Amino acid sequence: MSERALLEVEGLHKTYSMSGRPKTHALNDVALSVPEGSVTGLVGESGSGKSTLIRCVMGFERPDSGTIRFDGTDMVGASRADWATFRREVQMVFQDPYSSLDPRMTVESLVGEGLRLQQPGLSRAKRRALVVEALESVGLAEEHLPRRSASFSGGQRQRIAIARAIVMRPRLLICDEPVSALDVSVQAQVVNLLKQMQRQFGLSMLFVAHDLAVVRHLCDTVAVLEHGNLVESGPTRDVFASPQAEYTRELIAASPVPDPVVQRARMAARPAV
Amino acid sequence: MIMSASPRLEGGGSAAPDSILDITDLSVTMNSAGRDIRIVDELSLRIAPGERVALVGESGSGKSVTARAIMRLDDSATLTGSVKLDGQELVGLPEKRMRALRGAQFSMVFQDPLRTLNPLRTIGDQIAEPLRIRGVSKRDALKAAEETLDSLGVVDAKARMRAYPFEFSGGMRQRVALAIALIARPKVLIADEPTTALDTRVQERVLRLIDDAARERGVAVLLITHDLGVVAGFADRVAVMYSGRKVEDAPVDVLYSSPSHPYTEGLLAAVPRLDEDQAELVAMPGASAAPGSRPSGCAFHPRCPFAMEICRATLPLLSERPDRAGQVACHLRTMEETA
Repeated sequence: MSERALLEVEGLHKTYSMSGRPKTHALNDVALSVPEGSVTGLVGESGSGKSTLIRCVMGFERPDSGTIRFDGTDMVGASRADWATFRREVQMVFQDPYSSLDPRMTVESLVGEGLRLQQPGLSRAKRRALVVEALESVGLAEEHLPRRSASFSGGQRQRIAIARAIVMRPRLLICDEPVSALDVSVQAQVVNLLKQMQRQFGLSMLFVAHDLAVVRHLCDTVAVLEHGNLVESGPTRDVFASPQAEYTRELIAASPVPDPVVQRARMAARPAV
Repeated sequence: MIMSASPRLEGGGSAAPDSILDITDLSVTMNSAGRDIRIVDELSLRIAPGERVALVGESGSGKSVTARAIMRLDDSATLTGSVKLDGQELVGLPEKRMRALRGAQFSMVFQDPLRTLNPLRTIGDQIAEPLRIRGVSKRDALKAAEETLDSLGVVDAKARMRAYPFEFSGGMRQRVALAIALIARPKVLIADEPTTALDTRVQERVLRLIDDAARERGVAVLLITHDLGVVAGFADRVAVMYSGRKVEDAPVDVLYSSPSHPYTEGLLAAVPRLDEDQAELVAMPGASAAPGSRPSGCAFHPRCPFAMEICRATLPLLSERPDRAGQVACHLRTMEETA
């Protein structure tokens, strides 16, 4: 892991105001960085500001103040050309593979869509070859090209979504709860796949999740958000071994462990609420 | 046949006096696009009074359909087999008599309480309803509702009685749903993924609430879930379902420390852990089959690392685990047993 951050967020503020109500701080002076080639986890409960942060990074939402640097360029108020580069080099995988993939499209057009839009000069044969390569890297095959996404299971759809991102050779992959809608046995496949993709392509990843165990397993560093405030960040190992913020301690203590002896002891050690 | 040391693990036969819910060979068939599909296939499960049993499975395993079938919530489902609640047969019981049992003898909480609460009626009226239906006066029913809400840790219960569901957070709504489920003092509570949609800390609180409330009232709980962490801290015993059938049933400590069915083993190895380092998660290949297109023989055989010829051809029946600590449906274990 190099020291250089591919994505660097600093002093990010975002407020929402509704008429007649005080302003809500969705993000309050938030900082976050994804070093090149590493995985940064972003955790927090609903209302923590995770989604707002992602929306700001992706340019769907304009922050009130602060900087969002991608590869050294501040994307807040960036030029069209910079955004075009960003859209090519940053790809996303969403939570729900049922709603994020058009069920009527074939696997070939779904996975090839980005290439078609971003590299219109590419021949159809060349595009197909790249799509097949991406499919194979996620454990699917050429025979799946003509099938529609509706005929795939949730785990397979998430593989298609990952292939769709990977085919663009992104430098940064933003994963928004990519495994939380999947069955346990399938979730493990997708987590392992993301880990393998990250190694194979030297990808940098921002991994948003509420499941701390998945984050601990996959991420090099972790940032914890509570009500729009960054309450803790650091190497995953340190944060889990000795969480500094009360909120982080609470989250870890409240997350169940799949071992009856350990879990009963953990529950007994917690005061009743 | 060797008798089990623990009588409640025995499938079939007449109800042992110590079981409050006794399910024998329950099958649930539903019609989909003109085709009858057996969603639940010959499930047997016994729950003792006050016992907490977790029914664990992934999507398509039939765990929720089982819960709804016990409560007889799906009109379109055809049930065969037997479901006895405190000795009373429920399969074939007229709907009118079922209605008298729901809420009073057994009740249910769901994943999404918003869908079960009426948005236009006050919280108090809705909690009091199970008692009102049974002829309790409005005054007494509302008083009991307030006490129940208070016992579930709702601050200022008296004032909250007049609120509407939209005024409550997710965790508070689940408390209201729990109050409705418990007010008529049922013997069995069926909780279908009660914490799945909730944030981590709220999930913990709601789970503890169910735990304490059930313990105080001596209510047996059937917890339907996919979350092996939740099960570990809550259940006395675990039944694992795969593709419509129960494949393993054992006390929680036994099941986690020495799973007997390869599916149970695979499931436990696939869960990431908060409390230890894992180099790689052990992922099972493939995905579970949809109920309409189950593989022949043992439905798990295409994903099973130990699959043999017999697994493709013959359905393994539930029998005692080799260690006598529970039941398992796996040819490999049967062979070990007879070897």
